[in-house]
Amino acid sequence: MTRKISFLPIAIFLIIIYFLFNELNKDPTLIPSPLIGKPVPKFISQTLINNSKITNNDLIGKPYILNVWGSWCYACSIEHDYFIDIYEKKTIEIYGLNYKDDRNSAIQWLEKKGNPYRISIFDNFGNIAIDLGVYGAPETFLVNKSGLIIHKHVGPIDKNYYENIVLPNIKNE
Amino acid sequence: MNKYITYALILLFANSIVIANTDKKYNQIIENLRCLVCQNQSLSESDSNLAKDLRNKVKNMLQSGQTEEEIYKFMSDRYTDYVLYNPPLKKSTWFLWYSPFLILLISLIYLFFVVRKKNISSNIINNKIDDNEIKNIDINSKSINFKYIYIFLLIFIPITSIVIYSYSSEYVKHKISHYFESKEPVINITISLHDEILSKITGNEILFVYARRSSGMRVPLAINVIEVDKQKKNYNVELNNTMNMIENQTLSKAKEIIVEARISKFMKAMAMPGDFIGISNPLKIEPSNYLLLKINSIVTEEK
Repeated sequence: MTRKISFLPIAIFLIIIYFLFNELNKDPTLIPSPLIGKPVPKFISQTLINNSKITNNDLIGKPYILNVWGSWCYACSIEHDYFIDIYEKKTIEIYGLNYKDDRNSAIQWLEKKGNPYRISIFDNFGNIAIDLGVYGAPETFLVNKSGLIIHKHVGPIDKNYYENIVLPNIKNE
Repeated sequence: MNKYITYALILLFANSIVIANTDKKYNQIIENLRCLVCQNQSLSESDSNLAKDLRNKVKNMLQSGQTEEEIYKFMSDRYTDYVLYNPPLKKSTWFLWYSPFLILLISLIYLFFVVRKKNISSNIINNKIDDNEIKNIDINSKSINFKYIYIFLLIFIPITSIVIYSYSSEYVKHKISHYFESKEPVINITISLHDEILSKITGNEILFVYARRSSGMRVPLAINVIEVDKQKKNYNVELNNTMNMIENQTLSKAKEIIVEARISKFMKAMAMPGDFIGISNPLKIEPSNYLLLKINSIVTEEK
């Protein structure tokens, strides 16, 4: 009896080690979004290029991609070509959230690299981004036609984003 | 006597109420929120842009009269409970909060049964034998009980500490690991400015002190950056094993180093024309070193 019990601590120890070891393989920088299934937060802002007023209600109607970008952000320039590819497919609209950027350099960046965004929302203080739970550009949200966030991607998207994430999610829309 | 203790306590609390102004609350809140881009720092420690923005947000919310709870809720609504250093008690965190007590409880029950079993068995023996022997057995059974307690503690303490450590906040973990991190080799350097150079210092410069290998890669193995004061002639600077710029390129990896001290008007890593510089002779590295370094020349061309 005592002999059996004396193995118990070792068993518990091994179980704990197993869980700790599992934890090692996780990416600690990934934070799940609590906003999945919730509406895009309310905002009133300006568009980047025309300086006209834009609110969250202006985006509702069709499913869309909301990409948080900045001309200062290196990873944004990596993913930019994939957004242009998605834009050329003309199946879903892409909105940009220009995050903590200088207006002129943002516009120049778009002129140089091409503009896949239907509208870019100018968020120079990062207030909309905080409401969206953004902790680093680039981040990409997929929003359905009723304005609910259905997917969030942190970091630059890759060439599989459209096929693996956008298409399956908007199929039912 | 009790009266005085009560008075003292009242005074203590009254005092803390006076001190507790918004500033204190602000500092407390940003200590309890995690910086999202640099996992082992709180909002108050981090220099990242997002941390600055979130600190401002906390400040604004406090000024507009929102409570601490509202601020924590605002943050966790956007960034999940992950942003909180004290995760709230709910279904998914139940184990996290109560597992140490649960283990304590199970262990106490176990201990209770072990002790009782021993007592019963020794009582049975006691009934059968005479007084002289009872004393001996009593001592024996006591020592057996103690032995169990010791074995039990030996098992219990490491397990609970592993559990507590693994669930404790990242912040505590970081502090602990930093404490055990080896600082050696350490180089203590006294930097002294030549009088002519001292007269040219305006107070807007930065003093870079760094160590690099005497031959081979020029990348700094340890670097320290200090603000320069206008009239100050001597600076005491430490370089140690934790001040590396690149992972694994630490002081302990080198055998012989050169220490450079450079005063620059520009926040640049490269030496610029007009910088004041002092370079040491090659130094064989020991666990602790002392070095006197004079800043006595001017950089004339870009290196």
